[in-house]
Amino acid sequence: MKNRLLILVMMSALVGTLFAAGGQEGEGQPVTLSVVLHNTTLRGPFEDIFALYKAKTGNTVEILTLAAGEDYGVMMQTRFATNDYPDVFEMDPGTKQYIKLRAEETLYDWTNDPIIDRITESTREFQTLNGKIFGIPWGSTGNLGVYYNKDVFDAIGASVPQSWDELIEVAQDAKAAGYIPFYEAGKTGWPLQIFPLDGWTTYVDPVIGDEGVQALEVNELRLNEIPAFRDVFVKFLELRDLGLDQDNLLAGDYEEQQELFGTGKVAMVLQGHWFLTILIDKFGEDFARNSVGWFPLPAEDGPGTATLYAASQFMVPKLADNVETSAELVRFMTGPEALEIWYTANPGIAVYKGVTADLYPAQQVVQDFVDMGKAKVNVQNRLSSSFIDFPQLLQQMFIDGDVDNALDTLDENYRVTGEARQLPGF
Amino acid sequence: MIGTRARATMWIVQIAAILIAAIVIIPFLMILLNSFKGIREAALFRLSLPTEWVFSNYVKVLSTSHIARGFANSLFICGSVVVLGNLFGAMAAFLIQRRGGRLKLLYTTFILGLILPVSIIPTIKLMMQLGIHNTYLGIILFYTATALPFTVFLLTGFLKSIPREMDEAALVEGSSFFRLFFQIIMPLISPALITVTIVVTVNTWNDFFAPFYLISDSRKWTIILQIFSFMSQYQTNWGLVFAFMVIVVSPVLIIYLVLQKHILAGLTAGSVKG
Amino acid sequence: MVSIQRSSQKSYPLYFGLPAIAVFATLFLVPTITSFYYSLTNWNIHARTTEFIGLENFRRLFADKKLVAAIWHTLVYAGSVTVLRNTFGLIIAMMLNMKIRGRNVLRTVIFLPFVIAPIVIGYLFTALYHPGHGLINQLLRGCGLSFMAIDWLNDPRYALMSTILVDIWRTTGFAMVIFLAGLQLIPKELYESADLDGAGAWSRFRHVTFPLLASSLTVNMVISLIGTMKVFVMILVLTNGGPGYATQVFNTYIMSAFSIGRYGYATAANLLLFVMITVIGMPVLFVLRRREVEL
Repeated sequence: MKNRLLILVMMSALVGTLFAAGGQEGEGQPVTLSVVLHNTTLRGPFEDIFALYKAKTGNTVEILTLAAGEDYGVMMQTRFATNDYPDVFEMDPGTKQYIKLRAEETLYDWTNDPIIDRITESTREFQTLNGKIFGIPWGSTGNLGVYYNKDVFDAIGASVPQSWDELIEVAQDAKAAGYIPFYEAGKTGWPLQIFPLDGWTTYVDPVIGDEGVQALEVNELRLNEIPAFRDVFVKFLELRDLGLDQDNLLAGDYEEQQELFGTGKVAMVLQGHWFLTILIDKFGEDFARNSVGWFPLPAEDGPGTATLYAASQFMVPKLADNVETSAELVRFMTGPEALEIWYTANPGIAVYKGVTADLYPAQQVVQDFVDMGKAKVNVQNRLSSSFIDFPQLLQQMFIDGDVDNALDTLDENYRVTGEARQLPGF
Repeated sequence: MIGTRARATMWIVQIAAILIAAIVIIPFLMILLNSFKGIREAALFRLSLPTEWVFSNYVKVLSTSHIARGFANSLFICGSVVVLGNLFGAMAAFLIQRRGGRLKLLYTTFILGLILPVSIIPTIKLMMQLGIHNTYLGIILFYTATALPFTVFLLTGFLKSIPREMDEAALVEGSSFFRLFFQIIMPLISPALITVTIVVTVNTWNDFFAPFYLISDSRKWTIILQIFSFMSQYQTNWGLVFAFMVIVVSPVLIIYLVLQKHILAGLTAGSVKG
Repeated sequence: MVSIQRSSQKSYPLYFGLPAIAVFATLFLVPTITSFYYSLTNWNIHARTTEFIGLENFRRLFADKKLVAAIWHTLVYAGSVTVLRNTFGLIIAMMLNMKIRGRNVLRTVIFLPFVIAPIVIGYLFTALYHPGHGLINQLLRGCGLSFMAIDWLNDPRYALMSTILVDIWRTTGFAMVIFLAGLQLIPKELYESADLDGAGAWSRFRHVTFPLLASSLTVNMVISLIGTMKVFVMILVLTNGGPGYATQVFNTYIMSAFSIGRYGYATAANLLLFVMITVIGMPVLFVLRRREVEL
């Protein structure tokens, strides 16, 4: 009898400690907040900002990074579904995220917050859905396009190509002179998407127009029924077949891409605005200012359309533990000191007012295109469904050369996702 | 004549065996050597001594990567699983082996668990409904559940060699059932318990699958998830990565080297009896 | 003579098995049973409600070329690793059984990779397999075997093979240890009588060694087959199913469905995996066990 009791006590003690271990998050000052970022976001400035924050308030901020891309959104949704909220998190752009996360129920409402007055008009509109704002935009409006090494262009006597054929010519000249014309990070995967996405605004938008995109949005048009889009894929493959990519496309690595571009071995890369930031970080401001240029993928017979990448946003789950402290953190992050730290490391077309834009030449070109009205937002930001597994199917296309299979797979993934998300029309 | 041929064969076998061992050792040597090199030199993966010994890799890993937390979590989870698994498993095995009859069905159910893969997604859903998802309790119970088939299997087999007469003798002498189990039976089955402990510890400590799907709170991450997270951030600084690997692998390596005789003996005893 | 009363069944209380049953039933049996239900629904992260959709998930699974490829890769992987791991394991065990010098040290060393976490081994090999200056290609070029210095993980023709080699490297020690234990149980007299009958080495192996290793063989084969069909982390870390879909296996396929929130679909795929393991594992186990008994 005594033994039985002893066993019972021991087991309950064990179970008890397990329960205790589960719930032992300490209350009281100072607090540790967790902030989730995309792994493509530069950590450095955030670490500085949070160090400043800690000095001021005593609260520690722990940064957690998750792989950017489609998975990122789903990870956040999963965490929401399991009531495992981070305190603050970066999210992909657009109000479609409000729908994904059921913002009304789960997110902190910023609509009447003082931060909103500091945001530029157009960005504020972009962030508003049904009169409400649940995400605070961050940083700058980005871009996707061709970044080129000016030193290499000078060496081969090339100027910015004004048509597709000129682009091929420049690439061939570069190759003849011993440079790698294009470096594609095939193994890393996600950078492969940039060519088709940049190509979309130049080749597909003019043909299908906003009505076409709206048709895609409600599943009245299929991705594999757009000849202009197919043409973009064919051109992508063509670059490789003409020998204008580095030798082993499928082994290409994001790190090596940066390294070879920065050391003047590669002429051009298809990349996004974050690329400039990394170049500044690794190769210095002078290099970024003097040697890095930008242009959108050219059209058949003229310059292309710039592809804009909407700024990401920060959100605060209102069901988390430290909501008010988290909101305060976000206010701090969007305050003058923090923004100063950010924009010094990441100059760009800011989404906040009053930020003196000391744009790098590459960024100025983007701005010029915007001013000329020859810019359009990345199609992914305009659609509610998603291009799932895009990197993998592009890798597969490079393996078997089958453009139609790639398009069919993309179309299938897009529609399956639309259906899973119960979007109208799917 | 036969003597020379046999000796020649021995030499060939000897050398072949050493070569095979070398194939195993050399990669680890590479990790060790390159963990002391700077980022550029480490990326060359050479088996050479560092031209310049860099200790900052180790400093950086130890100071920024929450390794200690990972180890603590792994230790806590493994320890709990071993205790619960051995205890519950022994209790069930004892019951099944001694009582027999309809309990054969129960035994078969446990054996099924050895073959069937885990249905991880419904498990997540269930744990969420029970409120134990993303908790220590949850993952410990999960691991215990998956350790039970092997435990019950091995212990039932082993118990066959412990005669019932012993139980009867003890009970006749007025010993309580609990006393019988804990003071007599458990010590007798300790060799099998050791085998189970070794297998369960190795599987649980090294497992990626369960923490990946069942734990999203980074503060509860086991050392394995810590590795995953670290790698996705620092994968290009090989010197740092190798230093991290050395630190993470060292405890396991040391325990293995110290206990290897017991580990290998324990494993084989289990398989032969099984 | 005093008859000792046989301890009645009642001395072994049923509740003693309760904790084990409770844990196992809740966290293993229940999910396994509910997975049958969920696989017939459209359960996913975006939907507010989960609806019954019958065999739709399965119809989609079989229509998906990527799944067919994944199943094929899984079978190739499982088959290759099982056969090769056990062949090498047996050979090495026989080598170590020959009383060569330092055999305990050798045994310890060769078993070592098995205790290291697969995730670490995977990352280690991404370094070793680096096409440019990974250690493997360095050594191959150094020996004049440059033609063998392929792009192990990025060339779709060789990627799966490369992952198979890693698994073999890691687990041959385990097969070896099991075989070694089995070998050491074979009575010397049997070898001696075989020698007396004038048997050569191969004959000895075929008629004495191999048959008597039947139970070790069963253990190794079954563990190998079942374990390798469930391969996950190794591939995740080495190639993430790529390049393209060249190394996609069952568990990575399930994970990719899971990470886009298609839970019902992923559960259906998991059920298929479970069927595949049973359909392949059970007969193998049965045949090998039967053989053990007959021998």
